[in-house]
Amino acid sequence: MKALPLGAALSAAVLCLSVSAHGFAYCLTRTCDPETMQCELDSTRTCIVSGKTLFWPNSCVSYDVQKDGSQKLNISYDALHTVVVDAFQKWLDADCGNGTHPSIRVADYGAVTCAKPEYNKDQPNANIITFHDQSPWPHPNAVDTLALTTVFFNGDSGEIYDANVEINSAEDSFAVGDAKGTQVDLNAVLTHEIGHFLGLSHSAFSDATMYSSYMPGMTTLEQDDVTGICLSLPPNRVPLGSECTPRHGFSTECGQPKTGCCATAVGSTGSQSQTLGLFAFALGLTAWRGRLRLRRSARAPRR
Amino acid sequence: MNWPCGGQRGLRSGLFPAPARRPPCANLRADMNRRQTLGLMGTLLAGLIAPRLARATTARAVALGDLVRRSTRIAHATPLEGSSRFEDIGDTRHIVTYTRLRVEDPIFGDTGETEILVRTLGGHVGELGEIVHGEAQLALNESCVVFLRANADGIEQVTEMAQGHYPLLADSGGALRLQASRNMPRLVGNPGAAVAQLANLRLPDARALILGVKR
Repeated sequence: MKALPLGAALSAAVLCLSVSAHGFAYCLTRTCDPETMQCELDSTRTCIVSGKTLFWPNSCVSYDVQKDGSQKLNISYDALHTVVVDAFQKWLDADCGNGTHPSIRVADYGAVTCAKPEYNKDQPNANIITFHDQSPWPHPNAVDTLALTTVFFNGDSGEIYDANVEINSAEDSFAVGDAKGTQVDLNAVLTHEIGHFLGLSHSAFSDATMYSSYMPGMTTLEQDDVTGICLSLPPNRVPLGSECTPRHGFSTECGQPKTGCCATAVGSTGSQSQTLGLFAFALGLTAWRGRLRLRRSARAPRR
Repeated sequence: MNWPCGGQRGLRSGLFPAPARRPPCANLRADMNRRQTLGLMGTLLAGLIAPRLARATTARAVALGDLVRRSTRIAHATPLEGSSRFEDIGDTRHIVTYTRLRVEDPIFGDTGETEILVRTLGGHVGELGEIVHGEAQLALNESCVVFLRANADGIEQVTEMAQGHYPLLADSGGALRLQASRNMPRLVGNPGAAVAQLANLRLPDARALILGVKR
């Protein structure tokens, strides 16, 4: 009976030692936004340490691979799916000590049609991993981007609502397995991106998968990655639920544009109507001010 | 500056979240006549409808020469305030943040503006937050060297995201040195990478190196 607490204590000690040995090289993603708030940094000024850490609230999260794979690179849905499953498994298998693992499981909800990294505030969602084949890559100030992960979350609690990974097959060439020449190792890229998906930020430890430098074949987790994911999703945490379904339900399709003046769906171009409504209001205000000015000038005595 | 309240020539319309204080805008609003305002709003509308940009999390390391060539402005600047809102980026709705920066030293692309407005991806609107791993984070009051690229709408963004952002940190002797951005994307190796050349350089040395590359 004493073995478990002792083991837990030992694993905690090992965890603490490994953390201090690496000087907290990994960073957890936090709610504090340094562009609009004063955020506290660690002593090395590499991690934000104020605000809540981002976390998946339930013990399960779903993910979905986009159905088309990359027709341009001749990487099928099945091939991409295999790489994604493998990348998730690496993180889920992380040894948190005493035979425990990060407190999350993943559910594959199958192929989805939607290829947009969106979050719908009042419609079903999907956490997608998708290629972007169409040229040009829609982000012209970042043409050297290979893949990007976008995470939506509750800014007060840190609860993750949605995460999506987009791979830039429009501009770059990826290989499953051995990357040759200028090809990029898709396995290495996705192992890193799934770390972001699960709530990790970058690491300052140069061997870590979450370090900001890529090496082909760099697909295994280092101790720094393991420490990070085990603290982000500790084995003994109490999840809020066990559901895997995305927020507001699951859909294989992208969010549908809403009609009317007050649509507020995020991740849908249809919600432009809100902006246009505001624009119309501002335009009306300007016209009203112009009329007021004309009236005043008409009343004013002429010289 | 082509965007509301971006600098001395800027103006902010009621469409945009108002920052806590903005004296240049308050003075300028009175100077704008109706036609100018309507013209600007038309431009804004076109800008809102037109598809737009960006974010990253794994990227090819950009060479310093490429980073300089792709930038329309390079400056030593200090972020003063930021404000977030929803915008359509490409065909997807995202949160973006507009940060107002005070120009301490216009290293390249000087237009005489003392303040500039820069858009980055991610931020908070209401309870909803969005983070784009690899995007530059222009932390308040943290001076930096920033490489900027204006898009077709005149909106300035950080060139190659975090690869174009270098916070400044004083060393033990008090000299300011460039640091790699905290949100640096995972980089595919490049021996001539800008981050490898610029990180830890003293500010005057970095300035000289950048201008040397520009020539």
